[in-house]
Amino acid sequence: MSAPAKASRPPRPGPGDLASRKVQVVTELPGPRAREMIASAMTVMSPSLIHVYPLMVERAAGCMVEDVDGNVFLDCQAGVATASTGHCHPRVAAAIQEQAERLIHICGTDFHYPGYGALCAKLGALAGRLQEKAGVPADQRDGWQTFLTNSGTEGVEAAIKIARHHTKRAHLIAFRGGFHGRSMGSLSLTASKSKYRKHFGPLLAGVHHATYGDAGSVERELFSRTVGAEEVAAIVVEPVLGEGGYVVPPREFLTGLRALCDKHGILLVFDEVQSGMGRTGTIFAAEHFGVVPDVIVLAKGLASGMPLGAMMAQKRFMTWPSGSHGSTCGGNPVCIAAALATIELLEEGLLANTQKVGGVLKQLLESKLRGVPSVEEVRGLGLMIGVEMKTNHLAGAVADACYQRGLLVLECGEKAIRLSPPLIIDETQAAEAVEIFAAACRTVAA
Amino acid sequence: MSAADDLAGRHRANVLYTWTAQRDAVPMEIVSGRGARFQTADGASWIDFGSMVWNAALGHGHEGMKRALVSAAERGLVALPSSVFADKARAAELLLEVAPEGLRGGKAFLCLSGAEANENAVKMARLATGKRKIVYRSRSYHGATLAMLSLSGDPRRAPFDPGLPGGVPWNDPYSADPGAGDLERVLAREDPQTVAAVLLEGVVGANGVYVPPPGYWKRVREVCDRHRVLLIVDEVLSGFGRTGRWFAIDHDEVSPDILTCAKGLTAGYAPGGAVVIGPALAQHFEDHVLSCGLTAYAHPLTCAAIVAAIEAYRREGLVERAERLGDELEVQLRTLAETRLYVREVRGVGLLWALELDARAAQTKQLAEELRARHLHLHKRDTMVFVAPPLVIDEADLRAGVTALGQALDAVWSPR
Repeated sequence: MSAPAKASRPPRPGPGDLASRKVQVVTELPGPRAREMIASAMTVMSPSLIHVYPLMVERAAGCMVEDVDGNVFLDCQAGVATASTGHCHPRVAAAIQEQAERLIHICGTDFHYPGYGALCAKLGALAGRLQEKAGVPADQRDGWQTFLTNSGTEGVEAAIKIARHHTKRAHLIAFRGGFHGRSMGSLSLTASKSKYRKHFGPLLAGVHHATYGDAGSVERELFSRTVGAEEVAAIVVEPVLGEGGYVVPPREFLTGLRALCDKHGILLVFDEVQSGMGRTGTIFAAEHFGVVPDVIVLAKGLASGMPLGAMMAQKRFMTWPSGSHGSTCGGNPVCIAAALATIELLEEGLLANTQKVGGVLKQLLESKLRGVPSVEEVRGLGLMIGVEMKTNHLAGAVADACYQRGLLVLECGEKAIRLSPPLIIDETQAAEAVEIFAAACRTVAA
Repeated sequence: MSAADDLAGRHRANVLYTWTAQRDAVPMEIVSGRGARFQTADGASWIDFGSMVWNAALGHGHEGMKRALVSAAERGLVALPSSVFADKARAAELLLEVAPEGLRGGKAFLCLSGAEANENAVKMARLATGKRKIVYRSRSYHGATLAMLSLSGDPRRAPFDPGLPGGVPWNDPYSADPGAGDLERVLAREDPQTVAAVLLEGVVGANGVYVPPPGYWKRVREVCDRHRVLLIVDEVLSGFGRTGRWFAIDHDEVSPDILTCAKGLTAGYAPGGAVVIGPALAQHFEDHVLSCGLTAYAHPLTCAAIVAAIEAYRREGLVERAERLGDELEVQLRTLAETRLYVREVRGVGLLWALELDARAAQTKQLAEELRARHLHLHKRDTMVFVAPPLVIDEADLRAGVTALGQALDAVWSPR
C-alpha cells in the first residue's frame, strides 16, 4: 500500500530543481521564519554547539542549500567537507532507500552482512593503488584490513588502540595544529585550538606534540628531550591540516615521518578524515606525497554525510584478536550502502572533476584576490582550499559577509577560511563562489 | 654482444651526437611506438613527455603519416625546386588556411628546418625593407645555424660570437610592463628606419617557457605598425596546437607579417620548415627577385608530410584537445608543485610547460638518471624541466607521466 501513500504527499519541487538554481537571497538574513525557529530551538539545544551563522536549513540538493525562508545558498563547506557527492545525490539517496527497506541494523561486530566486507575490500583496493602510485613494488605490498566506525573520532580511537595493542607501547605523537576529534582519546591528540581541550583534562597520558610541517621537530623536541622513540606506538598526522588551517606541508615532512617510523618501529597513522575520499582530487591526500602510512583513518566524505568512519591498517599490524575491539552501530548497513555509492561516483568522474574544478577555483581565487590587502595566501589541493586572511577578525567578518551574500564557507586555523564544496561543483558555480568571496573581502577591507 | 650493443658501438665509432661531448652521449634505440608511448630495443615502454625534440606532436606510429609517406615514396619524385605536384600545392594551401587571418592571400616557402625557415624569414625581411637590423629577445632561441644563433638570446651562441651584424637584443621579460613600452624604447634608440624586423618566438620555448600575458601581441603589433617594422613570429616550437591554438599568436588574434614554423609542421615524420608571408610581402616579391633557395626546396616527402600532418590535426581535433588536456596538465603540475617546495615555479600554456627547480648540477644529473629509470622522456635544461607531450597523448598516459615525474623528482630531492 506504499504507492498511494506516496501519491498523497503534497507536491514539492524535486531536488534537481534546487540543485540547478543560483544563489538567491530573498529576505534579510536570517529571515523571519529562521529567526523564530532558531530562537525557540536555542532554549533546548546544548550551548556547546557553534552555529557559525544563523542558518536554518529546509532542504539541500547538489551544491545548493535552501533555508526555511526560501533563500538559496551556494554551499562551499559541504557540511564540513562531508557532502562529497553533493547534497542528496540521487544515486546515494536511492542506495540508502533501498538498503533501508532491506536491513537497517544487525551489528557488524557480531554478525555478517554483505556490505561490510564489500566496503572493506573496496577501501583495501583503493589503498593498494596508493601503494602502487608511491612505487611500492607489487611483491612488497601488504594488503589492508578495515574496522568500520560511526565517525572520524571513533576511527582515531581505533587507530590509537591498534597502535598500542600491536606495539605494546604506550606513547603517541601528534602535531600542534592537528585536529583529530573530540572524544577523550582523539581529543588528547587534537591541538588546533585550546578551547577544544579547556577544562576537559586530564586527557590521555603519554601524548606528545611536535611542530607540524617539521619532521625534525619530532627528534629535536621529543625523542631527545621528552620520550624515547622505542616507547612510541604511533605518530598520528593529517597529511593536509584540516580544521587547523588547510595547510599543505612540504613532501619532506611526511617522508621524514615515514623514515622515522621505519627506523624506530612506530606506526604511521594518517588521519584522512577531512583530506580523504577525493577531497584533494585523489582518494587519499597521501597520494600527492607518495607516502604510504601504516594506518589510515577515514570518515566525513566516505558516505556523503551518513555517519560512517573507517580505520584501515596494513594486515601485518592487524594483530588484535577477536573481541578486543568492536562497535554496535559502526559499519551500519545503510551507511555502507551510501559509502559504496559514493565511491562509485568518485571513480566515475568526481575525482577528475575535483582536480579540474579545484584547479579552476584556486586560480580564480588567486587572480581575483591578488592585491586585496586583507588576504595573505591562497593554498590547497583539489577542492580543499584555504584562504589565509590578515587577522582572525577579518576571517570571521569575511565568512559572515559571504553568508549575507548567499555563500556558505567556514573558518579554520587561526585566521583562515576554508572552501570545501561538494566534489560535484562545476566551473560556473566555482566562478560564482569566487565572485561572492571577492566581494565579501572587498567589503570587509573597506 | 647483442645486436643493440653492436648498433650503439657502431654509432659510437662513426656517428657524431649533437649538443654533447661524445663521451657523454646517451644513445637510444627506438624500435616502435604508438601515441605518446615508444618502445626501445631493450623492451622498455617509454612515455614521451618531450615529443622527441618538441616535434612529435602526432606521437609515434601515426597511421596517416605512415601511409602518406609510403605513397609519396612510391611515386619516387626527385627534388626539383621548380617542380609542380599536388602535395606541394596542397601543403601551401593548407598552411595558409590554418595560419593567422592576416596572412591569408599570402604565400608559403617550404624548406627543411626551423632554423632555415628563420634564416629565410630574415632574408625576406631584409630584401623587402632594404633595412638590416633585426630586434630579438635576450631570452630566445631561433636555431643552430650561425646567423640564427647570433639572433638568439641563448648561451649556445657563445662559442660562435661575433655572429651576424645587425642583431639588436631586447630585454623583454614580459612581466611588469608587458613588453611593448620597452620595444618602443629599443626602436627609438636604434632608429626604426634602420630596423627591418622584430623576431619573436610565439612562446619563449627552450629558454624557459615564458608565456606572454594577454594583449601582448596586440601591443607589439601596434608598435611595429607605427614604426613600419616587420613582425616575424617564430612558431617553430609553439605552433601547430602546442599552446592550444594553431599558433601561439592566435591567443591574441593578431597576425604577424611573417610566420615561421617547423617541428609540428611534419611532426617529426620528415624534415620540414616553412615561412608564411602575408599578401603585402607576397606582392613585393611579384616584381623583386626572391634571393632564397635550397636544393631540397618543397621536397616531395616534406610536402606529403605537411599535408598529412595538417589534415591529422584537423581531423582528430588536436588543437582543441591540446587546450583541454592543457588545463588538466596545468592542474596536475600545480598540484605536484604544491607539495614540493623545491619546485619554485610552474609556467606554461596548453601542452607546453616548464618547472623551475631549486637545483644544483649534481641533482640535475641524478634527475636524468631517475627519469631514465622510470622510462620518462623529457627535456631538461639548467634548473628547468619541460613537459611537452604529443597532442595525441591520452589522459591515462598524461597522469602516468606526471606521476613518474613526481617520483623522479622525489627520488632526487626528498628520498625516503
